[in-house]
Amino acid sequence: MLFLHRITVENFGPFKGIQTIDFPPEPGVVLIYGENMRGKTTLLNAIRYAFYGYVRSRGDHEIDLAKIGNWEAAAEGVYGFRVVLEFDYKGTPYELTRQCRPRPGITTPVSSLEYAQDTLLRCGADVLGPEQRDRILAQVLPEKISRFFLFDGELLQQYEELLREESNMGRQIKESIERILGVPVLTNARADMRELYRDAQGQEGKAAQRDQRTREFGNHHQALIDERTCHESELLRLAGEREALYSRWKAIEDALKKSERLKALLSERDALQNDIIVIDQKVTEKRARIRDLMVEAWRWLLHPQVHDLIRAMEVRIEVLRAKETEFAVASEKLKATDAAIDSGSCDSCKRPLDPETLITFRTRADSLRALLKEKVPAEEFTALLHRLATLKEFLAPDHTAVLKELNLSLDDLRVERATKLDRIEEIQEQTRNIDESEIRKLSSDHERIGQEIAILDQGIQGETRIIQELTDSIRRVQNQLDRLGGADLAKERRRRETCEHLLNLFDQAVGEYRDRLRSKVEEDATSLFLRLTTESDYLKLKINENYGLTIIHKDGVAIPVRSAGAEHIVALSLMGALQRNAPLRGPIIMDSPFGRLDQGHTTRVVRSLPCMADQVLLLVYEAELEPRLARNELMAQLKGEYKLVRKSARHSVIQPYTE
Amino acid sequence: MPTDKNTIGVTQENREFLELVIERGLFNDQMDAAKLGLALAIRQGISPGEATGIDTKWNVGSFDKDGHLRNVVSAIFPNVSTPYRLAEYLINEGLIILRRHLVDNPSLDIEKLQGDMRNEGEGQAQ
Repeated sequence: MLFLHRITVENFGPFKGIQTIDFPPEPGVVLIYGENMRGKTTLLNAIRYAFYGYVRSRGDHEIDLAKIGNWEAAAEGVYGFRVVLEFDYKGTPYELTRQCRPRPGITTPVSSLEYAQDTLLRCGADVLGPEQRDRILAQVLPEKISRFFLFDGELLQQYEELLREESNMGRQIKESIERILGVPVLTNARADMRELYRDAQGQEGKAAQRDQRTREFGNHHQALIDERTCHESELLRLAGEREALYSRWKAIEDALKKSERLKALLSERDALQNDIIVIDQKVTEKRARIRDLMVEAWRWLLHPQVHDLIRAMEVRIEVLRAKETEFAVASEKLKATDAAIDSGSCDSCKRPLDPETLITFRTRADSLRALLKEKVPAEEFTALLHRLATLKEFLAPDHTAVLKELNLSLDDLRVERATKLDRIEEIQEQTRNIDESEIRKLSSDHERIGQEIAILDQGIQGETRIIQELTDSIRRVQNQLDRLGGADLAKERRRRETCEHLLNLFDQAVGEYRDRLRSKVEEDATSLFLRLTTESDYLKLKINENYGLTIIHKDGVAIPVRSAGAEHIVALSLMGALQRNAPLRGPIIMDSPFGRLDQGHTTRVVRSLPCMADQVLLLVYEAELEPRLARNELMAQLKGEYKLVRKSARHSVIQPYTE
Repeated sequence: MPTDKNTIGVTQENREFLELVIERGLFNDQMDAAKLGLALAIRQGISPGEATGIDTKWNVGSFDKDGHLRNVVSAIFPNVSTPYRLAEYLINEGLIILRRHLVDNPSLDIEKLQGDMRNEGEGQAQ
């Protein structure tokens, strides 16, 4: 049983200087809150680094150690980092120190090659030697099962692979599961037993060769064993070759899966490039239209002035016209008045004019003559009419609104083009180092290797059949020998039979143990799952050969597709069940495991954490798990709360959590 | 009585600017830009004057084929007896306004130009 007491980090990631977290000695949960980029994953990695000497990104890639040291410290000329982990294992206290420091003579290291790593394991006052240190570390938390102790949401997602036949990752996870459950103890013993059995068979054959009565059978027996040994080594060779090819095939398949995304990106890029061509054509057309409109633009600009002039001219023309009419009327009146004066009688009523009226007529005639002296300027009138006509002709249709519309749509096109160009740049950045011909090569390699694997599978089947036939033949010869053999042979036979019985026993034991484990894991995972899930219609979890878990509805039907949240709940149930059934136990350290869970599930998971392991260390951000909720659900089981506080983008401080 | 001009000229700066606007694809012809300059100067209320430091650029026969330019200048400035001489001055002044506008704007926005001129006019009035 592993129990952590304290972790000290020095210049590790954002943790500048020396910083420590003390884990209370009682079983329970410790919460460490931190917003994004404050160092939650780094803290998980610090524990991983202490045990295994490497760190991983969230995408499960190993990170160059040269990138781990604190940037601010490096800027101040302090390079390297250190993690000290204090823990108990099987009741013995240990202090594990792992540090990375620049190699002698290197002042500004830039790559991991320029760093040296020291690992020190202290047991009480004693510093253990390298061999003892590595042996103990391999027992405390074996790397191959670390995934059950140190994990994040992404890792939880991988357990879905257990439901897929022929999944390489699924096979690796299954191996890890069997490792944590202690299955290798039995399978290794069975392998040893098989060797002993083979050896006993060989000894029996040799004893038969020594006896005159059985020599012929003995020789035949030995020949069959030799032949089988040849085929077994051929089978091993083929299986090894297949394994290597399968790994390559799988790696290519993964690369091809990634290339699917790449293909999508490239076709998106092509579509964007076509869009840009269309946009450019539109821009060209609109610009040409604008240029055409600009031919007359000067005329629209002058519309206000020209309209004012036209209005003034029209007013003047009206004035002149009125004057002309007045002139004509006055002229007629004068003509009539003069006629009346000349005739001495009224032109209308024909009565003679009295002297007083005659004087009035003469006065009127004089004033009319004076009026008619102001002649209407005919040239001005004609000139005005001409200018009015030319100005009206000048007024071209005003296309300001059309021009504005065109400019606005040009702006839109410019923005659209820039957006599309940005996206193209993004895609180019993402596909910078990718050769398109490489993808085609991957496809053909994938197909070719698949065919080679099929041929190897045929070979393996053939070899397995031959080995089985040879084993049957060996058994038949053994039966003959049983009837003919003497005392010496009988002794070897008893030894072989004993080995055979023991091998069968181990064979059955492995099967039986696996079945029991699977059944126990299924039972415990179901019990935990029903506590974690908020869906009351779910009845249980059903385990398969690979330890993959399927949700069974209460109507007995398996749920075929499940959400990422459900996947996490199932994975956490499996984790808890494995912890309960594993001979090796330790703390569970989870990084942001609630990101895909709703509040109902989060509450239930938090409530169940103490059942999953004695010591649980949870790295979360507050929106993912509200501190109040955690306190309410965990109550006395909550043993400590810390917070990762920002000092700068490259400097976080671990502090006890206070509201 | 002064005689009118048979040609229209522009300053060296305006000559280069006219080449630039064609390069930028804003006009089909430099004459379109020059006429727009004339209209801008009139709208801006530039008082009549005489251009200096210019080199001949166009013949008035080709610049004002339909005589609209002469007519409108004569109509707006009835006291001026040399409309092409005045037009030449206004074109050069107007091209300076256009040049300023294109420094701050990627494209030619007539409405904005009018707005700018109104604002400038108000600013001057205050």
